Amino acid sequence: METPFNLATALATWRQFQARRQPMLEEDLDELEVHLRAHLSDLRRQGWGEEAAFREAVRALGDLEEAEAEYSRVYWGKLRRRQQLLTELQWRLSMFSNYVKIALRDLRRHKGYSFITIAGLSLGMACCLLLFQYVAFETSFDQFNTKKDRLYRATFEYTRGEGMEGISSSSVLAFGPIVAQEVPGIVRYTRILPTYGGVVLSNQGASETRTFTENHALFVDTTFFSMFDYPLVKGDRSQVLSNPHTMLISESMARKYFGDQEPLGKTLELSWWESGTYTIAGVMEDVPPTSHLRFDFLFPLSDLLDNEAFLADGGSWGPES
Amino acid sequence: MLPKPLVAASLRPIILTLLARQPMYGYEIIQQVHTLSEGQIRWTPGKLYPLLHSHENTGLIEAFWQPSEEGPDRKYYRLTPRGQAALQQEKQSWLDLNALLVRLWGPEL
Repeated sequence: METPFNLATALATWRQFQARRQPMLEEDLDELEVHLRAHLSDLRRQGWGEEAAFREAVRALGDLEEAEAEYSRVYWGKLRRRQQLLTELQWRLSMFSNYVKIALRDLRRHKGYSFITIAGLSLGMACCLLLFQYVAFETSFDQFNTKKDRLYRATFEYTRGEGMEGISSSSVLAFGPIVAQEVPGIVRYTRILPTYGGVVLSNQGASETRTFTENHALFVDTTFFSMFDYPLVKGDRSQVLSNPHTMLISESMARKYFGDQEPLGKTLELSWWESGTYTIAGVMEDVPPTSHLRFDFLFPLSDLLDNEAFLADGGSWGPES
Repeated sequence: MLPKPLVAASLRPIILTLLARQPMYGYEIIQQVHTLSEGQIRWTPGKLYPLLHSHENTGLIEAFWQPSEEGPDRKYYRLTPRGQAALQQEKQSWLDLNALLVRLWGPEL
């Protein structure tokens, strides 16, 4: 079967055939092809069929075997002309270094103005960079959480009679379980209770007792690690918060209390509303600076929910997420 | 049809004259010459283009590419000041030759 005539293919084949002619440069072929096309469209306008027009246009190009000889006669001249172009370019490049020299001379001559413009521009650029840095930092907060699109922090708007209204960034402990039960879209909740005023921790029993007041300690629900991606260095994510009187400690805090010793299994004495001996069940990587939650210690919230003294003092008015 | 040597000899003055009027591309030149000579002269691209390139090499004309509505860019040629001077000389030679022939064929001799 004969394949139907395709102009684009025919042109490409023609060109490929001519490309073997050594003295013809790429742009010479371009020129000839444009010529061919122009003739072709003229013929088409006169009513020729596409294939017939193509054959006629190619025929009218004449004997290119003969033309090849003519082309080789001008070939070296063309190359020489290109060489000129090259030298022209080289010259322009060398001029560039001259421009630099002149610019430097100018700077030296007008010291005052140069200082003002350069200092002003640098200051502007510095400010701009700082701003970009700041914005990048601010927008990078909490981005490490893979479930960030599904995490919500519950806040609290309250009215206690006339003129006693407010908004709080935290809500109450009882809110979590109730709302998880009532609202169908909620998969999981975790409550996070900061230890206002700080907790006192000490590594009693060690050769050298160290006692500190710590401000970054949280009591959290067992679901904490299934919602947030804070990585653990040691310990099992799914287990660490499930046993009473166990705790987690950050790497740098572990160094502070235990030096180079293995922190896992060691104990710390806690004294706050809840007091007692806590065994370290896990070690966390230090929380990144772009986390809005800051903590060095985690304790199981369930310990506190049994603490009647804490509850009686209105401690249930704690925040949660 | 004109004899071949004559066609070959007249290529240069015709090209320079045409390009002195306005920039043109190859196909256009061939068409124009064909029309103006009333079908007497039809150049082949294989002759014209190398000649144009040779004039380009000697600096009589210069080329530039320009987009066209009909397809790929076209390579246009235009006369340089040097080409202008060459054209004047060419013109003088042909006029001299013409004058000689007229005188030779004229009644006064």
